[in-house]
Amino acid sequence: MMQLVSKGVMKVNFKIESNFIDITNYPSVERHLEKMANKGWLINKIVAGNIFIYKKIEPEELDFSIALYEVETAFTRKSKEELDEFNSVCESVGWNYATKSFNLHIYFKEKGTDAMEIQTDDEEEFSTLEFIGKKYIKSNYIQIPFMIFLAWMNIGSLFTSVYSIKDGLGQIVAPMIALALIVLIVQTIHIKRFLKANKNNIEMGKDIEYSDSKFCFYKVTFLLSYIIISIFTIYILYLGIVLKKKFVLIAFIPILIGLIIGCAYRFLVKPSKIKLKNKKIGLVATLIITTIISIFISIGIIMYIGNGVDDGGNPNIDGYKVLSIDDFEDNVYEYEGTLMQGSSILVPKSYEYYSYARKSGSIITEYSKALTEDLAKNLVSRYIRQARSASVGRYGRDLEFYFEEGIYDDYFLDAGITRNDFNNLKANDIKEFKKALIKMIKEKAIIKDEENLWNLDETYFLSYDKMEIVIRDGKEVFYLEGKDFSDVEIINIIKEKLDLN
Amino acid sequence: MAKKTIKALTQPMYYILLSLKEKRHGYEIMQFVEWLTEGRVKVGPGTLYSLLSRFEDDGYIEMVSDNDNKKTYLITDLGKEVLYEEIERLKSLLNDATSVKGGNEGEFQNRK
Repeated sequence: MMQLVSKGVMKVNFKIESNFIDITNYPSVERHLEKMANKGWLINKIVAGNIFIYKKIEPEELDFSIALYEVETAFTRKSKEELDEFNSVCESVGWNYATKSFNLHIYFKEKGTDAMEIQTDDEEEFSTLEFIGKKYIKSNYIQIPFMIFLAWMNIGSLFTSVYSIKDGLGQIVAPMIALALIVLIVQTIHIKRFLKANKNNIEMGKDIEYSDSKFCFYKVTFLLSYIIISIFTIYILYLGIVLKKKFVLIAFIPILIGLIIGCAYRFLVKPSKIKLKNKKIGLVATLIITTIISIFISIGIIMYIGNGVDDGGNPNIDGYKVLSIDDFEDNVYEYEGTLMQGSSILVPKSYEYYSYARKSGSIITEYSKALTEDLAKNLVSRYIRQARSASVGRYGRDLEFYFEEGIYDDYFLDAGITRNDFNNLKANDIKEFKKALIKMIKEKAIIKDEENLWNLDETYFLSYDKMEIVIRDGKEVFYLEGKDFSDVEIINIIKEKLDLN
Repeated sequence: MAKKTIKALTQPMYYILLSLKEKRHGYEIMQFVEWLTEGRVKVGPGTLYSLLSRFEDDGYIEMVSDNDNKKTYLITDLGKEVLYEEIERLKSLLNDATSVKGGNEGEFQNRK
């Protein structure tokens, strides 16, 4: 059992333990709490069903009884007065209240003293267990498809897209989603089995059978979750405060609003005496209002970012390996510059700089320093994949129209497709035509620097006009856009500016 | 409120409904049941309060007062209907048992 014991200077007076309690194992927890009391630790608080906090007592022989008393449903919650009444009745039959974990209320008494059992009927106890268990299962049935959707959105792109390798949030959230999904599935199966087995037991007049498992899987997953949540929080603060991505912090406003409204509903509306029907209407209205507020805030944030307000005009780019218009032209006024910084586990340092001047156009620099050289190579291959998709997206549209009409459009020239190429391929049927043309577009767009113009570890031109390029020097990867990167003079300027010699 | 179909009331269900022919709060219900059954039936607080919540949701009982953290309940007409049906069911069980005990099962052999 994992234990974290406080190290007070004078005296250790509390103990934190990673454990697990739910409706399937609480009698085994009763036995564990008895052993702990024997060692001088009395349960004081249980957080999220898995962090047990004990307070120091004189070692005592105590009996524990964990009682089911349903605290909360989707629309109702027992008020403090109702819980007090329940506790006072338990006390009048000989049990002292210790703490609770969700619907499980923990009581203790001195061993050997007389007290009425808190649960006196197995059938009723199972009926409550079944009600609570089915509620968990229903909730999991809603959460599982949602988690699968999130996993599909996050984990799928984690291995392929340029953005994901540089996106720290995605890399932190992905394992969290995977863990949550596994826990939900395991929990659903576990509770279903428990209810099914005990339904039979009750029908046959037998006792309820509880789990004696040590629940190591849950304990480890909960511990991992806490670690991931801590990293997530630190990362958000790092993005917002150190990298000055204020919008990341602002983006949490909708979540904060949701939390505040959710808490207000839980602690004020649920325990109130408002009729159930009105509570349901209230919940739906609250959800609609929260969604509208969140949408407005999100739109505001997007507009805020879109306007470039976040960067406060031209940023200072000293110390950044980026290109700007004035690196190539004299007497040019850089009209606009936008610097966005990022950091992730796989690519600890990255930034993008967008430099723009009237008449001269724009230059984009995306700089990344990967954790290892292999990851830098992987990033290069992601840029290549991205460029392939982009070229197909740009030139691959309306191919059926051009095939059927037999029209060669000059814009094919930008992709390196000549009239001859077009006419040769037109002899095929439409499927063959499309397939061959797309293949040709890709081949002409992505070209390795065979002439070794750049003399670096890896260099790929990503467009036929050579206005896009990805280069790698060790762990450093640059994606550049906006100049003819096959021009030796330009190459020399860039290599000097980006310190690639 | 429509009556839910209940197969048969369990022992604690039966005694709780029976005890609420008069206004009573939780602890009084427990004491009343113990007194009525001369200690044969005990309803613990976990069992009692789970059932009180469920009965209130189903409309079998209603809260009539809430003073000093003590909610007092009373059986409703719907609750009485359920209770009386259960009493009738128990009566027929008892009649059957009495009949068999009194030797009337011979009629079964001679039924043709």
